[in-house]
Amino acid sequence: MAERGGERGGFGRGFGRGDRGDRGGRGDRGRGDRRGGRRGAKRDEEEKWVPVTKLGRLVKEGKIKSLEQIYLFSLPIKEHQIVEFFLGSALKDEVMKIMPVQKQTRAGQRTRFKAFVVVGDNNGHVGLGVKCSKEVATAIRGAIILAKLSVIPVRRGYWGNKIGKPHTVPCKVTGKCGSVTVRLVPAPRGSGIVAARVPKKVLQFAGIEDVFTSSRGSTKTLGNFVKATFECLLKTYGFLTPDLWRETRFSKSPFQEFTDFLAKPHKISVVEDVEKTPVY
Amino acid sequence: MGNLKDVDDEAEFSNGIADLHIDGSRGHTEAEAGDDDEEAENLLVGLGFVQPVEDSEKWKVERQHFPSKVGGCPAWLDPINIPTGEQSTCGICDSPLEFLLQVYAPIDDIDDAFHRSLFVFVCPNASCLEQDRHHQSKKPEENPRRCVKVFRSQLLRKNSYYSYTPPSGEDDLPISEGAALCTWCGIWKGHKACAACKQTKYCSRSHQVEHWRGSHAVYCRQVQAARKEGKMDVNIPVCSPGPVSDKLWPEMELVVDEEDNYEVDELSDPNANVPASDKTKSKAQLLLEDYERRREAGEEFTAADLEDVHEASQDMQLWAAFLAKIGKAPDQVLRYCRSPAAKPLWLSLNGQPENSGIPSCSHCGSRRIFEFQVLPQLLNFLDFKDEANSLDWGTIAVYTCERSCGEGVGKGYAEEFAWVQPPPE
Repeated sequence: MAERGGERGGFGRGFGRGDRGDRGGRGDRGRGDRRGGRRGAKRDEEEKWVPVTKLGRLVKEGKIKSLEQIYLFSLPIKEHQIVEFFLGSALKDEVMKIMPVQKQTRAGQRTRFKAFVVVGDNNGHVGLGVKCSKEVATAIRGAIILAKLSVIPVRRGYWGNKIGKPHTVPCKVTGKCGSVTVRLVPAPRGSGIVAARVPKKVLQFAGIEDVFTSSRGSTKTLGNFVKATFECLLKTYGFLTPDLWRETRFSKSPFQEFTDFLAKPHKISVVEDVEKTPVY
Repeated sequence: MGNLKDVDDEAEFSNGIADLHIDGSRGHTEAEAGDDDEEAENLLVGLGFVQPVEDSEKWKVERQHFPSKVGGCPAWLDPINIPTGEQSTCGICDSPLEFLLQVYAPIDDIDDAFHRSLFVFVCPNASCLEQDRHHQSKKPEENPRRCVKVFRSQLLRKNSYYSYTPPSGEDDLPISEGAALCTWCGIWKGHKACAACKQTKYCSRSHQVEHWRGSHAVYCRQVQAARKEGKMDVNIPVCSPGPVSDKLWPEMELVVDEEDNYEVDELSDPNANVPASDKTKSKAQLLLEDYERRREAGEEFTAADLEDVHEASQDMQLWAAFLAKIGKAPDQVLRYCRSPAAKPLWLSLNGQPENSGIPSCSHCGSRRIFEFQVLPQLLNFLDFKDEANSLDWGTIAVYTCERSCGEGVGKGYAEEFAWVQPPPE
């Protein structure tokens, strides 16, 4: 077996794996062109990004001006590097909890770790990610990626006088998730975030300084409703307020010139191009 | 799924996460949705990476060196019996297909396949690829019209095209000439010729037209003028040997490496000196330490706080698993694993073939098994001028005859099956 398996008389093996593909028999790897593995290579956090989606390639090429342009046309963001590209170092992440979780298997009980991570730039963008994995670090890394993929834009406004930076939600918004409802209400400066612990963390990371919340629902533990809070935040941009009464000018989608892409259904939001809104 | 108990996990975190001893009787029991580290693959996966070819090293990708490559023209293994006619054109728009990549993948156990290469062709029209989606799930008897095609060629070690011994360097040539190829694309057989000069060969009318518009009109007239005057072999600028087209994708070598060489230890860096400074610690490590500090200060959330926060959907988890897997070597463009047990690394739940959706070998009837998949990262290297309108795929999974039969290859090239999963929504 060894003769036949390993003997190619000097010819390379290219991608051929020898007679078996499994790890059991590595054998002679032949002399095809190999790159030379980076065994034990240091994990480089800023490793060069090789996009896997069309949107990613366009972002990397610099064809997309801002994250808001992507939100405006409701294009799905599937690569976390897109979010990192626009938000950069402003984007902070934090592990909210690591929780052990047990699963019954034939061999007994198996423990995995569930990591909850929140990311945000404290300036209108926040995301939440959850990942379960055998190893803590894998769960954390997975949760960070999922959190970045779930980043939403959060619009802020004023409670009263438009002095200083926007600090609260622009209007009362309600979000529903399952049977629970959360309502965010603008609050005057200095009120702080009046909410349960986890929604409070999410609102903080989003850059909201003051807000009142009220919640209704039928779960046993009132006051959680993180998902419903997220729904509220999503709605902040969907709400037409007087300052947006100026006629909406639909700007060109990044793909507008190309009818194939447009032919696919995309939701166009009612809000004017974000860059054109008056600077608060 | 068991009962969600209102468990306070504080008691279990006695020594911190790293050296956790979990008491199995407490804690939540949950069903998993998507388990990427569960699939302990025992299969070796070869990763393909592109590498530019220096001009001085172009010989490496010529057919006598049995290369694996992307772009440029194919280095046909069997240089004579090249696919023609319907095989060489897009089933939807009828234009000649363009060459994407080739993989040299011999099989040790099969003498017939001492030399064995697979060639992948696609139509550059994005709209054809959209329509191809409907055709790829059709049964063979429904005559599917594909725009992504794969051809397999294999040879015994002793054959009439190449020496029994391997080539030694750049001066080695194949022992026989190949069939004439189209001057424009350099891919398909040039069985049509320019009616005027009768010298230049083309594979199709469209390529003849393109070449004419390019430089051929001028050259052709010169040749005709020279012929009239009786001067033939003198003073005529030689028409450059194909391919003349500028639309070919950039030519690059495709090199292989084991995926195992890219495993990285998550929490610690084996090369780091002790004690590890903040710079060498991984991101996950830093966040974990930050979390520990907050926990010790009593700032932790309880499980009840996070009750309504669930893991992402199955589809999202599959996507995250894909990202994690390719993240070990982000510039990989191809994943090779030829085995009946091998499964492609899918990007999403939809767009996967049914179990019955992979047709058997049309030549010998045995089943087709997964051999390799082309990843979307390759699109970065193809240098599209107009990215927004260009080709896009999630992955192209290639399935080949399990026996790597000689039946279809007898005529030169056996067509195999490619399944294209569209990009995730």
